[in-house]
Amino acid sequence: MSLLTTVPGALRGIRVLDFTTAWAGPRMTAYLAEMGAEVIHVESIQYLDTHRGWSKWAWGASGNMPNNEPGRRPWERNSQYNEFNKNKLGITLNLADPEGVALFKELVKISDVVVDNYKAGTTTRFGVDYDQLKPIRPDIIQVSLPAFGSTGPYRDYTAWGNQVMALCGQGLLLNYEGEDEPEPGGTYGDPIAAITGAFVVVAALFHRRRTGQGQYIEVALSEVSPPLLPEAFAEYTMNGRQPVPRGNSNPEAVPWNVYPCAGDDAWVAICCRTDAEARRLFELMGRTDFLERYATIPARLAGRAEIDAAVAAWTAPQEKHAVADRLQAAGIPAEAAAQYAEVLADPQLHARAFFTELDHPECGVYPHPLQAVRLSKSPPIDYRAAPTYGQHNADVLGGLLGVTDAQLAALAAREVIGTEPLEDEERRRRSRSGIAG
Amino acid sequence: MPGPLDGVRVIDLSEGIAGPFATKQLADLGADVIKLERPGGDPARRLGPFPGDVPHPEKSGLFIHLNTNKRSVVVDPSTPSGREIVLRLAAKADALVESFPPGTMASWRLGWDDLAAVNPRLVLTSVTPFGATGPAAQRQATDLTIAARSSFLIAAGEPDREPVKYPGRQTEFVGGLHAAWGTMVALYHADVTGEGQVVDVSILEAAVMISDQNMLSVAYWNGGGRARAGRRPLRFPPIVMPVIDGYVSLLVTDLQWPRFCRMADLEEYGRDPQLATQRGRIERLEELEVAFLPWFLSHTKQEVFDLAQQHGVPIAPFNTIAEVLDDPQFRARGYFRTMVHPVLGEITLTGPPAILSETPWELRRPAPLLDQHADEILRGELGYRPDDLLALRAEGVTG
Repeated sequence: MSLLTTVPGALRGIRVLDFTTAWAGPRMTAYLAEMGAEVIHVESIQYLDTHRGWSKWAWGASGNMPNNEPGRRPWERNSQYNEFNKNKLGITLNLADPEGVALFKELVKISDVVVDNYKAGTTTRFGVDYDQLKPIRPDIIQVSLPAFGSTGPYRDYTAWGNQVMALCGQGLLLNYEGEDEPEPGGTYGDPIAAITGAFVVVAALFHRRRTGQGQYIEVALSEVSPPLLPEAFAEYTMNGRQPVPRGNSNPEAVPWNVYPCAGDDAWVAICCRTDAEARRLFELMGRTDFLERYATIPARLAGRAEIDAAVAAWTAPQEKHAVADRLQAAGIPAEAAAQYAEVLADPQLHARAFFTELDHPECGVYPHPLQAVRLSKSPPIDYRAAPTYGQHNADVLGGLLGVTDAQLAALAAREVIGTEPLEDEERRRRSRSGIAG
Repeated sequence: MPGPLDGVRVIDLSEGIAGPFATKQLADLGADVIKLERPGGDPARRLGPFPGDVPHPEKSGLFIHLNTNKRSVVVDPSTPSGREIVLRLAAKADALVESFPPGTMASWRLGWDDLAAVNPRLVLTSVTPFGATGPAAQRQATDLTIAARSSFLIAAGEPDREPVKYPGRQTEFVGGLHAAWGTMVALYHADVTGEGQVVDVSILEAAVMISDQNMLSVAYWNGGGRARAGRRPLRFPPIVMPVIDGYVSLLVTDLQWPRFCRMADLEEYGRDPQLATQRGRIERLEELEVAFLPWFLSHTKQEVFDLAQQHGVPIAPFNTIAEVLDDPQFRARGYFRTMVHPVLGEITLTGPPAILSETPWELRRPAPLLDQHADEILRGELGYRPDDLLALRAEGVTG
């Protein structure tokens, strides 16, 4: 079956059926789409993707709309949905309806990869788990991203990324030094599952090229994060000690911290890795009295409070980028702490064309990031804004499966497909699934 | 069972964290990763934790995690004979991963042109803090400074204090995951087309990717205010609650609010239409805090976890590392793995980030000792004779 999209990229020719919601799943398939895969995002009018809004009109809590205005169709205007689903085709299918499942299975027959991130068991209930799909497409690669995995006592548990991080031990370590009540961080497990899943699925596609063999892959949010914090696990397994939060400091180097600068919420990170770097910093500060006294790491570790206070007093009246640039000129790692808006304007990112602009019919033109990897021959590409609700129903169901216009109209009448979410009450009554993450 | 990358060979010149974490991803899925260490070894060998806090190049808890399933040979790529070894290995490899400052490999005449001349199908992955190009390419960096510049830092901490970083060195690990991804995509492309290429990975950009949703929110509407909400954001239920033996993490939506109230035996609040939305609950924040706190303070974190999950409410405990290692879910899935390291003895390592039904993630060998595989690779595979090896060693090119 030929593709609807012909975008250059290393994954050109791969079709992905993307039965995902929220963050981890959609972000994972966006990585694939940016490398040229044809990704068909399957939604339903019965159950909103949480990143389109908690409910049809509950847009206000998200605060992610252009100019914070809902417009006539707020579910099309969420920045996060539009980031995670760019480059994709969008269709609607109610998998609680047998006709919806039948069409989904027709799409599976012409797809290479199926991805879901619903709660474990959801695909089984809908009749689209691996055991049910393998007979109709023997070399299919199916990927699930449940919160805690599809087996074990927590298989039915529900969680967002920040609960997963708390459960995995990271939560207690994200804190200021010496403080007890945890600092909540972002929903960090989701994007780690996304990049891990994208990597693993291409490895599976590579294997399939050589052997013809498909497989089932499970990426649990709880299992992608611990490998990113081996120091903590090693500290306990080697020394029997619970690691303590370090804030921004480094137990093996001083000065190494975040210091205040001129302006509101302005900070600079400074790290002196060696004695020579510490000496150059002290010279720039005019603290010749520190040169001998704090020449060695043991001496600086012992004098950390005094040194940090002196560095903070020196940075406080200065502009944060100016401090960072002065220190970089002396070969010392230092960067201003960027606010999000400053990242969008970062000269290094702009020089590398990291942001591209996409024009969305309900939102207008906004910048989107273009991956952290540049492939010289088959680069990632942002080429299409996220689909509006059911935007490609006719292209995909008609163009790929041969569903006629009359059949499409009948499907719409039965609410198997549609281009707008159902009213909230209706949706709640009919909704049957749960979110994993 | 073989991994999906069985038969793939990777030459790994990378050092530290990001590059080695990338090649670990490939090695754990079956690739044969040959780690070329400069004389003295990968600097990560000097990073803790160490047993008893005594540094030892074969006992770094970080290094043994980052270098599973790899083989080690000491080679100095800056010398003519070392360069020759790298080129001979690259000629028979699928990918080469390096993490030197931009321009370093070219200065050793090991840039893309040199490598492509011996192997046009090769994937050359370079992992650097800022990427190979741009005005910042030669700036110095650490995890903390990349966290700062990427906005990763500004996401956590109290609004009226300095922001606080995620624990460990996470930007580098995130950079490593993206390097594994880029390398994998390029390996796939090479398998389809026979064409090699350069993969340029920026750790800064990888860290930004992890927060892309925040960038987009601000691009769409810069509502001002602090990026970080701290421990007391204006919302109910809050995102951290104290319990008898610690804290729990919450993120309760409007749809889950009635179930949350039922869980805490305060069902009447769940029926109050004024409290159905976050906006309504904020108006009665103090009343709600007073009403719900006693329930939390009379339960342990495990009790709250189990009760919340019975009600379909996403709440989880803040666990210690010991509790994570002993957690029933990780135990049931056999997640943490032990293996025997020749110097450290029995070690515990984090397990598979993904379960593949046909081609499993697997720990086949522990992190290599420095130069452990010199003989089998230089003599056995490249055909150096014993007296060649002695000469190389005398020159300081190999270990």
